[in-house]
Amino acid sequence: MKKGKLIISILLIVMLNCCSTIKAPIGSVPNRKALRTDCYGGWLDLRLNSSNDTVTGEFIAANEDSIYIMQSGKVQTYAISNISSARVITFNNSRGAYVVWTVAGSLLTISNGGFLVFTLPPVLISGILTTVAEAKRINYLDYPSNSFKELSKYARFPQGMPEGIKTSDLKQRLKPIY
Amino acid sequence: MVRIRCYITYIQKRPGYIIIVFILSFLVSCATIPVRRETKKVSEIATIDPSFKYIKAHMQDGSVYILYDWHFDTTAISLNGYGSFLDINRNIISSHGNLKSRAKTYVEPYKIDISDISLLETNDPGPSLAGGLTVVTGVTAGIGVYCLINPKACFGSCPTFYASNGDTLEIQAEGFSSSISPSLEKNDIDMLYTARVKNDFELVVTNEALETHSIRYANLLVFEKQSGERVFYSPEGIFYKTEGILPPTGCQNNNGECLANVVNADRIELFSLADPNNLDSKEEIIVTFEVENDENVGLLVGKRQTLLTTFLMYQGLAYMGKSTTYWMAEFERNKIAPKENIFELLGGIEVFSKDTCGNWILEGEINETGPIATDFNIIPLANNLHGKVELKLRLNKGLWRIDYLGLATISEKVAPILIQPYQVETITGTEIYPLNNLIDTNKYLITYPGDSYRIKYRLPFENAELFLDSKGFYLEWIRDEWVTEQNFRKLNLMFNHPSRYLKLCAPDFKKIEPHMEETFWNSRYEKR
Repeated sequence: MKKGKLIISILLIVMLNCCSTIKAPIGSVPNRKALRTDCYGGWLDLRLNSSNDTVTGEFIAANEDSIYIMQSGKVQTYAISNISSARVITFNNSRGAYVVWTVAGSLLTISNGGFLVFTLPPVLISGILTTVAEAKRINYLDYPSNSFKELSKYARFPQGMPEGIKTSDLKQRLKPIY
Repeated sequence: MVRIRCYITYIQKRPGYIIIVFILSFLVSCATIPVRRETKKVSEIATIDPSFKYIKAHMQDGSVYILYDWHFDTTAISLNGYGSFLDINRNIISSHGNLKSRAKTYVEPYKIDISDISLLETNDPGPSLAGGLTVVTGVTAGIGVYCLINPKACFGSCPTFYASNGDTLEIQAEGFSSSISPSLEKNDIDMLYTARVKNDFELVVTNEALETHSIRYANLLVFEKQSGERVFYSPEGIFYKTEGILPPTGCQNNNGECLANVVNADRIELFSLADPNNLDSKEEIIVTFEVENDENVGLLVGKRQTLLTTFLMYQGLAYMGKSTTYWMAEFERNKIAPKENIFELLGGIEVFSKDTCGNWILEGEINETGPIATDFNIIPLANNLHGKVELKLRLNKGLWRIDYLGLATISEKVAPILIQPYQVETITGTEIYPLNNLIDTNKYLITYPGDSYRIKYRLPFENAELFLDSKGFYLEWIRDEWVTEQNFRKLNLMFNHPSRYLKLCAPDFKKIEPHMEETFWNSRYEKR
């Protein structure tokens, strides 16, 4: 009984600690592993000088003086000089999956009977460490601490907006190819 | 509320626990793991670490290639690799390979002229954190959990034929699955259901198991067709041209509603698990169609077998043990013959329709060995039907995986044009004259584990239905694990009293049944 209370306290603290993770809207960025094969842009969050408004959407491209962002299916252009700060979120971490894994793994140790005394603690500790570490992966880049050239690696067109493309031809992200 | 108060009191009395937990969480909260993306100009291509599994080539027009098994060809000044080519909206234009499995496939790699490339991109996603968690969970879960790897679930049975579906290479057929010895050699006709037809048509035949395959021929049976028409093959050996196909409106089996599993040929299959007390146990599926006009129709069934027959075949060889060659030789010389064929006992898929009195009348039976490729057949129904039409399928539990059911309007019986291959390329293998061996019916194209050949045909039509007509036999290689199970008493039971044997071995099969499919597909033999 006492051990159960200790476990609850650990889980509560860890859950609170994990709440600081930075996430883009579901489906707007790939998971970490799929970064290698995903060809869309990251999730861009801009704060504008002129209106102090916030603009969010897929990062399409950055040229020397302007950036392109997909907002609600339409590509908008903003002058970099009009941007006070920006953050591009590159992927969403798998913290949720690890939480489920940890809880499921912990419950599974019930099947070990008396051995639970030995099997539950390692599952719990490794699960907590993994979950927290996953939540703390750096999944974003900020401007102006990084240049837009650095941020543009995570644009749909990291080479800049290709010549000959009409922005009206660009469509929103489909689901990742895997 | 009282419990929460008790809990707080408990924590207050043990500040040491809290300190440990906070230190622990503080330590892990400080840890960060970088994910690194690098972009390079084409002129820097030589500086890219070749160990990256994937590379993206961003083209000047905004399209992009994602490649694996990539390399820079300094002679041709090109970037070569397998993968996919995507447009500006990241729709797949073409694929040469499979990005997910990174299979070394039997298609040509992309060769991208580097002058068309604008930027190259690599990604290091950082280490996975799941490994440690997996080990720990696995160790604890492993207490009392059965080992998943079972040698009787290994990939096997017969030559596997691939063709392009327009997007990627897809398994289309498995040849002569039941021909496990020379005396059982026979031909096998399989529909190439999703193959993309073009004048220069290619099949890739592979040997992905520990087996020796002897292929006497692999010809195409070709039917010209118009848009909306399809041709299907009946168990009686007749080809029927069909004009329209009705999807089912209802499907019920012992587990309830099953329409979603059978309404499309999408590999979302309808299957049940074997009876835990007797592997020879039947079940029924009732499928319903709404037929508007009084028409000559046939039931289409897209199906493959589960791994029950594979298990039984491997188990039989295991019982033969070190004497397998003796038993097989005796079998070849007709010195032994089973009293009752265990596979015939399990049976095929029987199709019934209702007569005017509401009695079920047997219309036909589909039965073909093989767990690899889904094959499509037609059972023509004797009477014209209209209105709400109910059909019954009777099949052995745990033996069949049904992907598709439909009711086709039959327009006519048709005869095929036979097309032989005109060229065979060796992808991996040692056969010197593979084409000659496939054309000359006195010879065999013999393949060994990991071999693959590309077979080329010239088709006379641009819009055609294709069937593969292959003939031959194959020999299983006896695994060391099997020999330890030598048991002639059980072999006798299996051969001569299969009904009793199917009850006896049910518990053994049920132990591995849940994992067989996964183990099977993960154990394909590939030369590297």
